[in-house]
Amino acid sequence: MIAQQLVNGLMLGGIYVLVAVSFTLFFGCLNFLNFSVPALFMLGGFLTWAGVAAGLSWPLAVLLALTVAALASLLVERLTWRLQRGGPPLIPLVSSLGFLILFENLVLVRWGSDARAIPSPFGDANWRIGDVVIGLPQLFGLILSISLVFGLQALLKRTKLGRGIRSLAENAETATMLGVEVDRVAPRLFLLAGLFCALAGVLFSLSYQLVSPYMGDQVALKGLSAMVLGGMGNIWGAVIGGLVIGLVEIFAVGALSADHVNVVVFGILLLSLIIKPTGLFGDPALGQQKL
Amino acid sequence: MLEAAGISAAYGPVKALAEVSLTVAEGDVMAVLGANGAGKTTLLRTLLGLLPAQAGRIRFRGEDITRLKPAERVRRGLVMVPEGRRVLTSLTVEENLLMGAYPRRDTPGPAELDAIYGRFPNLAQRRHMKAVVLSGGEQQMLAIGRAMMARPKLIMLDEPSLGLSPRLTAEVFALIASLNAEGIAILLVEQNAMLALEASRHALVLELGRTAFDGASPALLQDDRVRRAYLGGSAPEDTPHHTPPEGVPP
Repeated sequence: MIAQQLVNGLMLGGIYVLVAVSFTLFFGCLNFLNFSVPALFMLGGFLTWAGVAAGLSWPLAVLLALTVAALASLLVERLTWRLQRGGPPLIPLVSSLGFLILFENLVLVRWGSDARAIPSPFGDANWRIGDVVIGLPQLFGLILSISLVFGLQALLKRTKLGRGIRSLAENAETATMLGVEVDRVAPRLFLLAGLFCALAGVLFSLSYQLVSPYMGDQVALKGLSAMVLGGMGNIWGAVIGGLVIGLVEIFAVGALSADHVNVVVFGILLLSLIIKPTGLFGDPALGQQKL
Repeated sequence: MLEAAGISAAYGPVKALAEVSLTVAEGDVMAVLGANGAGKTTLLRTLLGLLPAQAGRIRFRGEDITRLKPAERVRRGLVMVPEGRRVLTSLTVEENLLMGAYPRRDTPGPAELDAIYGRFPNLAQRRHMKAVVLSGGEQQMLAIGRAMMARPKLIMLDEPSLGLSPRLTAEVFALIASLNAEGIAILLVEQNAMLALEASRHALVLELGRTAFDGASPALLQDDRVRRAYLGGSAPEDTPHHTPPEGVPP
């Protein structure tokens, strides 16, 4: 029983990891709390359903959903972050929240507010080890999300773009002085981070086989909490935070009930922030060392 | 090589620089002197494009760069070593050096890095450590090494002696002289006016964002008003001087 919950918790956590890393990229590099993330997550998941429902093959539907989400993310870059970054820092945040509502309602207008069941291309393929059942789509999702984080880490450490992103994250003024152009880096970052959370949406729909226009809200709230729990702007903090929140959620369902999930998850988040306000991996002495 | 004509700049409503002109010739070393708040750092930031010039023109190697972004100016060889070094502490020493080459279109080879490490053995030993572990002197060397990775034609240094011991300051100034000997022009902002005038051929004195004097450094060293105001003579006078300097060289 405990082993099964551990497995389920980690696999749910894998989804939160991608969303938390997406928030972290925006916040760590651009100091931008991007509230359009839940919508990008939803576009990834919901449009996969819409594609399949319209008769597209699975890979094509996923590709289409990711493309639309990536374009949506670039639109947010152009119209909130780039256009409004000179002003008060709250303006892009509020504006990205506007995009969240806009995207959700565009989907709602076209397809209605009902949750839709999406058939998994893998059926309910699973692995049994003793009493423990491991769903293969979920396992695939967890492995993919952790591999993507390693890939992201390699990109940040070994490529010129990665060094530019980390320089901007540490000190935008110094990065500009050295010749980093934030207007060139930002679209790539929005593309990358947008794809991370859209892919999380795809994996979510594959694993849990249910999509709705509001599917991003709850998940993104947990992803945001995972980022805060891990320490704002730290990628590995976001990974640990995502896995911890996934585990807490599943154990709360098992020990109490589904109704208690949010009380327990956010109770633990608040408690941990009272004990360590900088999050698990946020060190105030290393305040500038983000990403 | 670098010519600024009548440039003005402001932080919001606060005027920080008013119609300052300067010319740095090929192979020149020029010093910029002045009290705190005189606009020295603002002048460098405006020349690099971190702050827009509200008036005036800036030309670099025959090309008007007034409207170019900082990245474009760095790519053309106009490079800055900022006050307080500003090394990127979360990047390794080597990554900091590579950041110096960021706007370049080609990729710097290992030979280039080795040339920097040959000059700064301390950096070579710490090449894979985060720059946060470096001492102040090492950070200054890293900031200069980083500037060299941009293939500079002119390096602007802002207070390179700040916070360094006299021995390290002498080392930094020797380094500046050797870079100049290799043909790199230098624009030097320095609190230590004596040191700056000895290291430079020309100097510009700013007061409240305006040019108070400019001329040959040896002449300024002899000028009574400059001596009184900046070289620890009697107390500085209240009124700024706009007298042309003596002995301006051709």
